[in-house]
Amino acid sequence: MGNLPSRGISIVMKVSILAGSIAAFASLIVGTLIVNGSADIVYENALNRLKYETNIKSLRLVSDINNLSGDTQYLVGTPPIQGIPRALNNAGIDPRDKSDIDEWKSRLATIFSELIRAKPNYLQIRYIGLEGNGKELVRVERSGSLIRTLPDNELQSKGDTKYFKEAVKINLGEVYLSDISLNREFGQVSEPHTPVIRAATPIYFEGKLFGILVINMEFSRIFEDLVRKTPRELIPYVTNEEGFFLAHPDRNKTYGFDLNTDFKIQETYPEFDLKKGGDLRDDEFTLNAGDDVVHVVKSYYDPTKADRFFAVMLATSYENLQSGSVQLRYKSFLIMALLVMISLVIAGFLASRLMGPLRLIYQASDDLANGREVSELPLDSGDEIGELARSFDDMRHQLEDKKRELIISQGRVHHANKMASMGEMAGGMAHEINSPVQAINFTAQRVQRQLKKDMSKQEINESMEKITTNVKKIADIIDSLRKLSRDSTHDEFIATKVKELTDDIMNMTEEKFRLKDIDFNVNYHGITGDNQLYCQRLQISQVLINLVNNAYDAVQHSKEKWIKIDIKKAFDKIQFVVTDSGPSIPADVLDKIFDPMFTTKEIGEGTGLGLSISREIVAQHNGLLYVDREEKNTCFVLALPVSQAT
Amino acid sequence: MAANQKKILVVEDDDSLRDMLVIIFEDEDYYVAAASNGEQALQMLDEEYFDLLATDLYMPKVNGFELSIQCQKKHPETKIILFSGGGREITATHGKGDVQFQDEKIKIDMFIKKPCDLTELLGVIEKMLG
Repeated sequence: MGNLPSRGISIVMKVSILAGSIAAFASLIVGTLIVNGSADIVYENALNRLKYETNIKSLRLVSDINNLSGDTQYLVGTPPIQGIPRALNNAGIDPRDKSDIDEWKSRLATIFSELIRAKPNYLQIRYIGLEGNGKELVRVERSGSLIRTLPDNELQSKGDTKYFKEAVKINLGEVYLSDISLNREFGQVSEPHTPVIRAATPIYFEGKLFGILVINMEFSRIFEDLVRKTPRELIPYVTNEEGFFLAHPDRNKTYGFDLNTDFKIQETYPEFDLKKGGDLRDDEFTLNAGDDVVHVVKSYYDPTKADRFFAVMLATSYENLQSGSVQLRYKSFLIMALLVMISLVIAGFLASRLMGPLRLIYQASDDLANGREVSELPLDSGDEIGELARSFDDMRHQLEDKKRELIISQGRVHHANKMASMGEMAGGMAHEINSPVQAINFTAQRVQRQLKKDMSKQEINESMEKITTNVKKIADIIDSLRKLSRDSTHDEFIATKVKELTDDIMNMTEEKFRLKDIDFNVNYHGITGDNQLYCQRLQISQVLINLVNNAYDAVQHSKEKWIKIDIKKAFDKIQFVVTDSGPSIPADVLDKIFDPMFTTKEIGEGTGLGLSISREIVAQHNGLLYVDREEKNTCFVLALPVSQAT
Repeated sequence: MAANQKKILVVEDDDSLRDMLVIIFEDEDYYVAAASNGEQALQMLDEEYFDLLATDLYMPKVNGFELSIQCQKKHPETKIILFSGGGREITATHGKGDVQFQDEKIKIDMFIKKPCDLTELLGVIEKMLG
């Protein structure tokens, strides 16, 4: 962009940044709103999932217990249930089909066995009669992988158990469900801990209470399943109505009520209140406990007692719930950043498209300012930029016209200046021309006179030769005058011998110097007259003649009169050092000698343009013209590059 | 050299013209000596008497105007003809004797503006030397 002062940020850059910032700002606001909304939705989803999972678990649990009740009621409807009391009441033989009591017991045991086989969680099914303080009539139980029907001698009386006492109190068709408690054998909690629920229902025979049917179902597998099938980020708990754990990822914390430990949900979450109800349903609520979020579903499993429930809950950290929305946020901001970047790039691209024509104009003005060929202008553009381009183009053309005029008038000035110096020289020339003219004249006249006196042919020939010689002398002088006076401003640069330049000076000035007894010398230092340099020969001759003429004017009335030109090579330049015997130029004059119209000569003697024009010519040659102030005599240095390479 | 032969000193820096003047004057039976500049001419004037000094104006070292002044001092009887093509520095009229050069004025016998007619010149000289 040429030698301009540093420009700071370009317009393209500014517009890009502005447009980009606006786009970025807009997308940031919209993006943030959307992301925040979406993040809320994602959080809501995560929370809903938590609720859903909890409800599923609760349903499973409740349905397991419902099935248990159902199975109990189903078994009561099977034939052996009535067959056994019928046989008992008829001395051991059923009056209807003559089956004896053992046959009925065996049939019932088969039914029990099949059911236990089908239901992996069923531990024990028993038929207990009122007789004998609740003596077991039929008892089938799971024993490891086997299913065993107990022989009569192993049957016990269960009249004191809670389930027995409860079951005999309820109506036909109802099912008593015990609390879940660890299985005890002979009063001791059995190992491994087996949580057990008992479902018991009364059996009536001929309108009178006869006994009960009891199914023991174990929960360990159900709870294990519940824990195992829970997604990793969720922690499942099941507690009873008091808050003791029935299911806990850490099994040691379960069954505090049976093992006399006090691991309760209230311990983990002090703000926990099982009496609490939810907004949506009474049996469901979400608890924010510290860093955790816990969803609780109160699972009412006993249709006969409305206050019995398991609290099924899934806990997760708030962070976990948020992770989806946080990830969404990250992803969204990443995309947003990408969008901002893309919008910046697009804005930059559009701005440069938009500003491109302006840049062209700028480039053109820069070219114009630096004198280069003006590159293309967006003249066809229909907008303001096109208008600007067109008015710039007009301006440029006007400028070119002016420049052309200037060049023409400059050329005129140059030429006029040269003609002026030619005029100065013409005086000297007159003498030079006059002498041969006079010689020709005398020779011709003498021949005329002598012819009357019978002149020899040889004499005539000699005279004619004299005339020819003198005519040639005059022609040479005229020729060099004509050559030098021609307008050479637009001459081509050609390889020119140094000698050709000095010859031009000699031709024009030698006679003048001779007549004034000025000692004029051209000395070569390290180069010869055959060395070449690229220049407009006549222009440079004019510069040198101008320097020499100035020197002539300075020394012609001095006592010591000499002018010398020392020609030497300095690096890539050839120097013409013109020194004369005159004293050095005073500093105040020195500062102005290259100014146009400055002259120390009398009016009419100098145009005051010589040195300024000379310096202009030299500048066009990439050369230098200056005064060597170190010298005690007046000393001008003209340095010209040897080659034309610019 | 015949006793009554008149002596002319030709002073001219242009070799060709000087030679021609010598030949022309010799054709007319004058005794002719020649110098190519004023300095040389002054030396010759010291050594010899000349009836006529025919000198060019513009010459190196000592010019014709200076030479004329010196000659008038040395030999007031010697006639002087000054040739010149004219110029800014000189004010004089062809055929007359008042010459102003730069700031000085002298009166000589004849100023002749170059180029001049041979017959006229010879006529002038013949009249001058009687």
